[in-house]
Amino acid sequence: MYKWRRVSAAGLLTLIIVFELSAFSLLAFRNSTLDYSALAFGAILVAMLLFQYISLTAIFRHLDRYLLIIANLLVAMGLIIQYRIEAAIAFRQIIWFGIGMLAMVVCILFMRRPNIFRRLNLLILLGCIGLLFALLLVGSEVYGARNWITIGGQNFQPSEFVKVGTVFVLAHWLTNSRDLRGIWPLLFYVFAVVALLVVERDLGAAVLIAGTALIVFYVATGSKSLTLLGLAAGSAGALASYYIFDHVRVRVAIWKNPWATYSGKGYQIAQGLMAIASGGLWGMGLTRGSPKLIPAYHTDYIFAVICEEFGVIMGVCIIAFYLVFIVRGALVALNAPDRFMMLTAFGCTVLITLQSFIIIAGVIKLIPLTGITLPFVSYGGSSIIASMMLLGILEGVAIQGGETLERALKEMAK
Amino acid sequence: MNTRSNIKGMLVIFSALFIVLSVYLVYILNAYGTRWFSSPYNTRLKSQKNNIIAGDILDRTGRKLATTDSAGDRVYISDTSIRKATSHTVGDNYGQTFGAENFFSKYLLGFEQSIFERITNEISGKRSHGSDVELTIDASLCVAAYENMGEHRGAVIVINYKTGEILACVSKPVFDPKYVADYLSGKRELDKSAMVNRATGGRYTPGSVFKLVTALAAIRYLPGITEREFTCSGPLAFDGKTGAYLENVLLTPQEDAEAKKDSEPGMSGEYRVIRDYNGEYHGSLNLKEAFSKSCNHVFAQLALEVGEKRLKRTAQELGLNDDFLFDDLVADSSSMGHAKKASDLAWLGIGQHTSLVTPLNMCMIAGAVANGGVMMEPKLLLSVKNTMGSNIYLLQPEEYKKSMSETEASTLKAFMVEAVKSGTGRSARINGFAVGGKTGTAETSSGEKEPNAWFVGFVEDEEHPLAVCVVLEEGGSGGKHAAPVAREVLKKAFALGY
Amino acid sequence: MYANAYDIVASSMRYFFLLLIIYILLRLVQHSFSEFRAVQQIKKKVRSVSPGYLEALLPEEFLGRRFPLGRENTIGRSKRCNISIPLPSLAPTHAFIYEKKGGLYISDYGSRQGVLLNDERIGRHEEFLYTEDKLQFGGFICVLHLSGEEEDDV
Repeated sequence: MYKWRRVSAAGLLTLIIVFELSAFSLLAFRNSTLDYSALAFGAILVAMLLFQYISLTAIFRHLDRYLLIIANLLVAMGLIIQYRIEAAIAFRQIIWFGIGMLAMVVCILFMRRPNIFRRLNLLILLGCIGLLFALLLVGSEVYGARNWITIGGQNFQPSEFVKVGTVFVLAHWLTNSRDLRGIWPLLFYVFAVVALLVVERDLGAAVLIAGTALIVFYVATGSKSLTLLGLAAGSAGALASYYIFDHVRVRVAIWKNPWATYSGKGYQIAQGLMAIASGGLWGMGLTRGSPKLIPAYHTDYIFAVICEEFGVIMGVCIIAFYLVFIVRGALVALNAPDRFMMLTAFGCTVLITLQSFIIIAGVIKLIPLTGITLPFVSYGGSSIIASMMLLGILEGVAIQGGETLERALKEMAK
Repeated sequence: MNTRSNIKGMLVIFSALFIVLSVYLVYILNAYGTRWFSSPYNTRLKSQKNNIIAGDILDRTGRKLATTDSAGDRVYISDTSIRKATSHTVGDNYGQTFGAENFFSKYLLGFEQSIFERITNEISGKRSHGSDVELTIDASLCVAAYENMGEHRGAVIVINYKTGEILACVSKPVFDPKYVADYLSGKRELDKSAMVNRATGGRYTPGSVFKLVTALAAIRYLPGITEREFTCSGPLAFDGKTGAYLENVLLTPQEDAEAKKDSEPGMSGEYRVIRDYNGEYHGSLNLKEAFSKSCNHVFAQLALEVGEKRLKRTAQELGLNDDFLFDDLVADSSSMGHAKKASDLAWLGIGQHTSLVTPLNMCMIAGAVANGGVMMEPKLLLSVKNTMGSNIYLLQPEEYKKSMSETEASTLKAFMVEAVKSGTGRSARINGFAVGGKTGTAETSSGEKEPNAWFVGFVEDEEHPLAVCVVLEEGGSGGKHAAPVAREVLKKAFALGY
Repeated sequence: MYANAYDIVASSMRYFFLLLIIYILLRLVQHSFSEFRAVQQIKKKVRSVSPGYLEALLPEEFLGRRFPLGRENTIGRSKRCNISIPLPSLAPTHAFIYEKKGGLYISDYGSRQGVLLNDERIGRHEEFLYTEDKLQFGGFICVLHLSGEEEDDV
């Protein structure tokens, strides 16, 4: 039943490879001397993508190929831009991507025995809180947020992994019970994590986790009143943070009018908008823009760089790709063989939804800017590993769902 | 309670969110793209100037107002009066103003060049050259406006109300684009506000020209108002403390003159009053005559009768409070003030209190009256020609909004023609042409400075569809000082063939 | 000279990249649609045959046995029940599992021991069933497995 699916997905992968190779070739010819490392880089990326696709589809027949392809496209796009800005960044990112691919496979395998996660739940719960707590003590401040840990010379962002842990915690407790009394450990966890993140000034992650928890809670319990209560509590918290923390006030002020504070805090948003405007609909063309003018050009603001060089039409396509990813993720959740996996898959979907929406909306000044990364595309070791893990969880659930369906078909045939 | 249906529901919400995201992205690019791109902070423009020869800026007669010479420097027209009169429209090369140099830089600096064009240039060995931009203004008309303004600060705008083309846009004080570098380094003195384009960005108290809004509101919401007989016998009285309208208190001009001597400005004894100009009261008159003579008594009453909400709605249909997002230029918005008490509303009706309007907005309103109620979007860009000589842009007139019905427009038109024929706008009369208009004498502070002189008008003629707005800061009476300027500018426009 | 030529190439490549990506996007959406529809067909087919099965846990002798479910199933001690479990702790007709509006429901037929759904006793009204729900009829404990996934029409 899946034969034609295989063919069409493979065809799309081929097109992605064509896209990626042509981009790197263009980059290779940038200077009058041929940049062999660009071509090599492109070739290595192709090899990695092919290897991943072929091996995974060979082992797991029910893999959701389109999810994988979208993720591959987004990663490729990210790598192209990163290489264009500075080759060194791209080299580091591709290594992280490799590690991410391994992490993804690990997650797929774990999802075949999801009960492991259920039994380890308390461990995950306490672990996440502990991790964030540890940040308070030993974390280093970057960009005004205390959310980085340096181990062995490499920077890690533990909040990314807490994201993944949260998905499991949410799913576990909401599988068992559907009312407040049964899930008080979950509530405690969410409050603790969000509070810690706010204290550590990682507002983006705080909003992300709070939002995900709220949405998954509503979906699992269907209790509109409780969800609205949670929403009210969250809004009250947001309002409070506006008055307490001046950096929240700054964020709102520069959202309203970045040009007024151009020489100070509004600079990033203004530069982003000018970049998008310079690109216009069709973009300036790869290598013809000036991405380095924008602060955080390779992480939070990578969407603006894409719009500058590839155009707003490309920007809309990227938004569309995320939407397709989300829809497919939700479908995976709906086809899950049991409730725990359904909630886990949906939790992953919500995370990706919220994360991509919040950062893109922040860049185009729809909402105030928060410091989070664009999943799969942005540079960042922890970011891409966490995103690949989420993808792995989704694929794991998809595989389980597909296998269950296949078994049911076989039962029928008997 | 079904989880699965909840998931589906959330999916719909997510899709909606992402669609909003895409739509918003395209919207902001469309609405603000040019503005952000041309922003003086955009260093891409600066670096591009090093790589390319910027295109020429021409007026509609083909005169080169700005060009780049062989050494790569930006050179402006040699005639000093033209340079100064068109300075705000042409802009400067240092990112200090939103003139054509900056606003149309995407054409001037070749950002819009097609691949074909670039390949052709490359092959023929020509150095990269931007496109040439042709503006709708006529430099001679601008000079005429500039000279007729005399010593006064202020602005003059002339537009073609059928197409929206701006034929002249002059703001004084001016700067000389040739010396902007010197102004910035301090070598030359420049008035602090000289770089502000008062025509598009100057917000002034409207004074009696606001009566256009009040009159339209009256025609629209008070049936039979054109037939009504008003009695303008003396100042209108309001309670000194609460500002409530005291309908039954009829002050005679003599009583008022007596009380005025010992009272603060705007007061007559215990009453807050609205007086007519120079204490001249008109007796019995209808709406047309009240408009033509600019009777404060009548219009203050009309404002009270129409009410703030309907007056505001009318003002909004005429463009006040709009966030103007025009394609060709940056224009500030006008705003109508807010009335806390009845006396405030009466003041608003005659254009005082806290309302502020731009000359461009008023010119658009005059144009709408003359154009059957249709307000056209102001256009500054006539055409853009690329290096291969073909037009990559040609002006397309665009309707901005329909401000009033055709009947309302023709009624107002008749009023305005009367005002010029025999009313306060007499000095704008031109032999052989039907000119309509409204004068204004706007008080800005309690009598310390001379009021601002306004004239807003049009020519009722298919062959000469012109609308004009003149405002002179501290110019005195609108009828005495602004109307003649409008007259001379219109005469020059006729002579030039518009 | 080289820089200019490269610049022109980079400019022209814009359209190529965009076209490629738009094509990929459209194909992706199209294939996703077809695949979705195909899977729906399969699930409908599977569901139409059997909504699922009960997998027994206790008592020991029944462990692992599967009892396939039809559209309507009576469960009890009696041999006339669709699913006949000869244990004394069950009533002759203990419970009724049936399909309604695309979902599977259970109701207590009036047994003395009652029916436990996920360790909670169900009342007189019907209860909606999810996959992996644990059911207990007297001394017989089993887990429900739904085939494919049940559709809800919302």
